[in-house]
Amino acid sequence: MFTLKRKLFLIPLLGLLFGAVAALAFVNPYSGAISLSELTLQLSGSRGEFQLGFGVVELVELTLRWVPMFVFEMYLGAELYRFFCTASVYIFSRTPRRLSWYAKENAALLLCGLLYQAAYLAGAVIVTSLRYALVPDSPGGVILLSHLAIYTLWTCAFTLLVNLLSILLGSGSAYLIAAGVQLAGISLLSALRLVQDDPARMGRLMGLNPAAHLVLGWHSSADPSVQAALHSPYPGPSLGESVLLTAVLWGTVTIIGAFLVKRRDLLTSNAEMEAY
Amino acid sequence: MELIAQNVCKIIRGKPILSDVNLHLKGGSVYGFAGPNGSGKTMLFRALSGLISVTSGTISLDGKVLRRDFDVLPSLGIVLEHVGLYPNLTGLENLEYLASLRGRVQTEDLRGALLRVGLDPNDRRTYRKYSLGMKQRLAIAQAVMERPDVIMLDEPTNGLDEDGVKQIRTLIQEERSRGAMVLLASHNREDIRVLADHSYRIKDGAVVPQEDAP
Repeated sequence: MFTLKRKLFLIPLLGLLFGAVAALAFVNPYSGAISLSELTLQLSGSRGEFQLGFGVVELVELTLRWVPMFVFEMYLGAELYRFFCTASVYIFSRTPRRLSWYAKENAALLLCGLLYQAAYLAGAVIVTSLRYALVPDSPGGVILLSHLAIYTLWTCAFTLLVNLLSILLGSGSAYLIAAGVQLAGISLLSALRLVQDDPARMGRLMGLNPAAHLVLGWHSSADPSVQAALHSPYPGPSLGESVLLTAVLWGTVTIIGAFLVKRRDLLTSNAEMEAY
Repeated sequence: MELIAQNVCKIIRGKPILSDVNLHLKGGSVYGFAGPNGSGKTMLFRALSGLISVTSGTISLDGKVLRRDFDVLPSLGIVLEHVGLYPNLTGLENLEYLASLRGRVQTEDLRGALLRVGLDPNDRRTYRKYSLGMKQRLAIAQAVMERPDVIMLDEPTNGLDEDGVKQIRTLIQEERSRGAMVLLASHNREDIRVLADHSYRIKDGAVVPQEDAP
């Protein structure tokens, strides 16, 4: 993360910028006032007071909301990997314990992801409060923190995935695969339309598609006030379940990465450098 | 300090890259490894340093086994062919970054290392603007800046002018006097002849003491 020390300011700056743009593009209260919970729901796919539907236009808009994550994955996933590859011999020759190096780098990545997502939400909150009357509500705090946790873990999981796939395939292909998997997940949300009349099946299908866990407007909560704020028409997962799922996703990628970093001869099969 | 390789083999995609390598190396000596391109010199250094695993055999340093007790030699400076540094950083900045990984040396030591290889620590040019010879010198500077116990230099005099070659040869002799174990790979027989206390010939992955070489 040495490169980032010099450009650390870019991460929150970019996050703030994207948050501001997202607020301008996607946050539209009809009455001129908006609660914190409603703001957060609109950032993750809701349109006004209506939850995200399954039409093409809506899913394209959802994809646009994910652009900040794709940018983070591209910069810290692909670009950082390319930087690392430049002198990987000289880095690894100075790391007698690869796993502790990996753990440190991974922790730094998680911190950057958290900073980025926090700045994104801060940018959205600031711009919205300048445009409209922003009403803080206690469920809003829960939903905002859930958004922060879910999106941070998801972003970091896929950024790490890009880094790890780059070892095997090169950074270009790795990024395409990671982005492709996410876009496929969004596209498959359209299949939910087919089971709209069967809440039980819909709930199961939502649970199975990781992309659905990022649409906060589809969630439920055991807390009545949070449940009321979510007002989801669909039997979606709970916020806690989605935080857990994204944590498991991040943890799984982290563990696989640990095996790869520990065991693989990185210098004899470096797809990025086309080495021997 | 002893580095021992016993029956080391490395096979990649069915092709033997190192074949039954046996070495017993000690600190305070320079070991020369001569061989044509593609003979396995670079792979040997990668294996001995721990940068790659071996298919069979063991490599140990003072009784501790590589890839079991540690992933890479704990006090190592290495230069490999065709490995660059960071193009947007100056020479000193490159060394500062690498030195920060272990935190064992100060900026003054880095400046000293640059001077030893004939580079100017105050040079604000970035690595991408360096000549081939300057890049080679910087690579050697990063290998010696932390005064490691084991130094592996793969073709260290490539791209250097006559003065540069003399400077690097002097540096290698100084490192040997300091007690470091220096492994030197070169297809330039003069480097081996002038510097090596013990020399080996590598051909098709097999390492043979020079006096025994056919």
